[in-house]
Amino acid sequence: MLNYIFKRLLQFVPVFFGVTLILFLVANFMPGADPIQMRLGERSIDPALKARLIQEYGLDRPWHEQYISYLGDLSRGDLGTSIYNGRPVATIFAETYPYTIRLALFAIMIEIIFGIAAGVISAVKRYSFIDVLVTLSTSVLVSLPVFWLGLMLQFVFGIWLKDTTGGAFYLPISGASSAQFPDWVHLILPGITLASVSTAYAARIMRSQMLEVMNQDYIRTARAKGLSEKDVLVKHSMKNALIPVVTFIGLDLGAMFAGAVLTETVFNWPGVGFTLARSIFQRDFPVVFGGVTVMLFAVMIINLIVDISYAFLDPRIRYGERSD
Amino acid sequence: MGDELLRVQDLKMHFHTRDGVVKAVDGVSYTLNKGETLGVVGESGSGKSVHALTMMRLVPMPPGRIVGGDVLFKGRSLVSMPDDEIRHIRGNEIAMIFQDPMTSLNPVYRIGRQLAEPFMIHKGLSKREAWERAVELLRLVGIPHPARRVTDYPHQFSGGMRQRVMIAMALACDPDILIADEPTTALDVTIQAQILELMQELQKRTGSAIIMITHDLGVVADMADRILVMYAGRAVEYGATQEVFYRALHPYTWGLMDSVPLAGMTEKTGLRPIKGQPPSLVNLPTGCSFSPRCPCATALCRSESPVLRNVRGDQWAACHYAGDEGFVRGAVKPVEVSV
Amino acid sequence: METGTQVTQASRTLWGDAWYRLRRNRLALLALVWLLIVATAAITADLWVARAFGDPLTIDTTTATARRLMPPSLAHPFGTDDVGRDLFGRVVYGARVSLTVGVVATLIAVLLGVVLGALSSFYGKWVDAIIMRGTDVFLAFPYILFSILILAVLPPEVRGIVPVILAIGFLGWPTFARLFRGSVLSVKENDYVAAGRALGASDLRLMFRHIAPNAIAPVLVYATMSVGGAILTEAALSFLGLGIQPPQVSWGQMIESSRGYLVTAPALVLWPGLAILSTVLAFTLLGDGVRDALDVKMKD
Repeated sequence: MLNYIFKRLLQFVPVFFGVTLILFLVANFMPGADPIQMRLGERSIDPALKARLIQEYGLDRPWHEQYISYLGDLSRGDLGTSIYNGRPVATIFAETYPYTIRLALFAIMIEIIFGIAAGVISAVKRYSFIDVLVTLSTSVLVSLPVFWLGLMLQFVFGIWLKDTTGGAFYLPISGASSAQFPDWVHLILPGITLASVSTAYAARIMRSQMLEVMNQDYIRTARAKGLSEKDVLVKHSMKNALIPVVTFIGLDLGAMFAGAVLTETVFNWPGVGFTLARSIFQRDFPVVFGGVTVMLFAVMIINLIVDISYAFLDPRIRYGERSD
Repeated sequence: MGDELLRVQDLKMHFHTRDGVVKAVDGVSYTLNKGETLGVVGESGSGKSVHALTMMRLVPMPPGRIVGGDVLFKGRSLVSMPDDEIRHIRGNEIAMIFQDPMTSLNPVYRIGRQLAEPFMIHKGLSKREAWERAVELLRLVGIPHPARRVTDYPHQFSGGMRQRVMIAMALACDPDILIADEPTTALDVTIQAQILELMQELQKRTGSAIIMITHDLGVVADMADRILVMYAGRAVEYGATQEVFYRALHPYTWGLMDSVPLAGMTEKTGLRPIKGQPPSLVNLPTGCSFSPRCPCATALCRSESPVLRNVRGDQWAACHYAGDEGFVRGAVKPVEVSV
Repeated sequence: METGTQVTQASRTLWGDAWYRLRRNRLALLALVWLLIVATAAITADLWVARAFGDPLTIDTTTATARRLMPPSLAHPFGTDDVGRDLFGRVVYGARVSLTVGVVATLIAVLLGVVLGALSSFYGKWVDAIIMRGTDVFLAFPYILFSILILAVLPPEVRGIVPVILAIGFLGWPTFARLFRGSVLSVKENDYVAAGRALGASDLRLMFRHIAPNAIAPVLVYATMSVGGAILTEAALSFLGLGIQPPQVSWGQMIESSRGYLVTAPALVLWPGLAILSTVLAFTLLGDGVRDALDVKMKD
């Protein structure tokens, strides 16, 4: 297994340099973009000042030197400062991350519970009414624009059913909790919105995995041993079928930590995604780049953790038969 | 021998598919006595495996459906007993091992856990006791260092070793019957011999009856007491091994014997595969199902289906001409063969 | 060449069978019909929309206030928007942009992916290593973040349909490259390819005559589904203000600009959303149908 982990870590190295290089290139060398403007905002700058700034920022150095000093800044956690309010970008995201994590964990819970349950039920009751229902509704869910779903949920629960729900979901500007409702109420609609697509995918994967596993010879062996159908399902089928699903959910958690830009924007949820979208609007480039950088690192690290934990789930990898 | 253990009566298992009804098993009858070994022989698609899965109720239904017949085990009908009763018989009184040991063990559980399961389900042993019995079983089937190997996962075992594990698992609860569905087909020749030897040795020790399903007459030649030959879902010949081997009645059995290398075969006689393909189980030919491939077929064979009948002593055959004067292997001049 | 004719015959019946199976799949057929309707409406929009419902693209300042937020009627099936333009007409014109982005961006991604995947699988070694590490890097970026990053850097006056298409197209290649590479590698093992090579066929000929036709099925399935994905991405980018800019109209941009009317005029948000949903769903179902018809095994 050490071998496997080492291999994964080794694969991570080119990804790390590739991703940082792309970030660096987009920030400094993208056609039509001006690196000085990106650091200072949209003011038109006097050419003499601009020349001095280029020197000051080291933008006249060869690109690889610039890239190395950029990596140095990254390693110190220096992501620059906001043009808009002059605060360090790292601080801004340190403040907003807890909101994103809270929402992501809530959404993942929905995904785990409903995704797995729906997948198992529809596989076990294959071709039944409930299977058709699950299959069709997952198709609909993966075809929904997430932000539109969020708006529609707001409309239905916040406006249309306002009196029925006692205003619980009305204008769910969260973070600032109202005294009237417990804090978690504000998580419900954004949580459902964020979880919708992934829950559908989780259900689909779980279903197809279950169908595949239930056709395996070792399931027949388990039945031939005299195991009850429940044990065959829970002990012998689910554990095998869950391995890819758990991997998917892990990767998805990474994607959610990357900030649910759309969900957070629709619900004004003050996490990293919302901050990013707002900074795009304000053309606050250091925050945009810092945000994307932070999110990418979150994704990469979680992907790495998921890859490695895969080894703990599948003994074939743990005891080194297959390496991928 | 007496002591009847299992009686299969005109068992029929049909599959209802979009393309029509597949008559996988279409009338099979035999009896099995205590401690006896029955060889069930036939090509793939002859229904030999499906008939065993049907007895164990391991065929998914639908699409499968038992349309007729019965299986009596110690006088009780396996076909109509409730689910929880058959579950108590599976792995306990009748155990089964399968063709492909590579895929028949669950990859995510340790060998020991999988071996311990039958003890826990059927004998009510605690996890710890069952685990200890698992180690004993591994030793019994000749796995070196059983105490250590019991914590390994299936992928750490070779194919032959895995089949030994499967045998151990099947024998866990001292079953009355062990059904072995092509247990050696997926293994290489030297390992095949070892596995067969192991099964015979264990049978001596436990006294289980064995139903050995195979496409290879050679496998059952010196192991089986009786042989059942199946073709297109039906039994075409049934009898004591000696009789079937030396005085076979059915042309299909002759064909099978010509197509496998057996002791005493000279280069001159050589291997002669049976011509043609097994028939589609959706559209069986009228008359005898084997008639399109039979070198001796006549107009009668093509119009009327023969029934399995007692031809002599302990030997049955489903052929219009079985037992006729001069209708014996090698003596009949095949009508259409031109090799 | 004998192997050549065999392969083309085999593939002809493959496609014939696939078409037969697809026709028997009612849901996929329904999806196909719906997409044809949407596409026809979008292509012919100039001929009938303005005549029937009034110009949906320009604001008529003289009537804007009088006609704003009208409820659905015969003259305006979906009603009118906040400046008196016909909502149905706008949804039809939105289909133009959304379908164009979906189809063109997917074509770019397929083209890039297939070429790189072919190079990777055919030349192996360091070519393969570089291209595959490239897919690792691109797949490490969440799709939407990457396109946000690129489009955010562009000055607002440059934003619009072309950068959106390019961004989505250029980011979509890695999946196609991996798919195509994988299926080429498995097809390459087949005897007829070895036979072709033994007969002295050139690399290019092998690729075009023997391998590509047999390796294209999974690419086709994934491409069908990707069109829907590209439409969703376009909608998301437009919703964030990075995509289609007014006066151009796309479904995502319609939702973005009418977000403030959720309380007073939810129809403004509802219709473009339903348009996205139905169109993307149609591509998803059609993709499922094509997958089953071609009997391609794919992870969900």
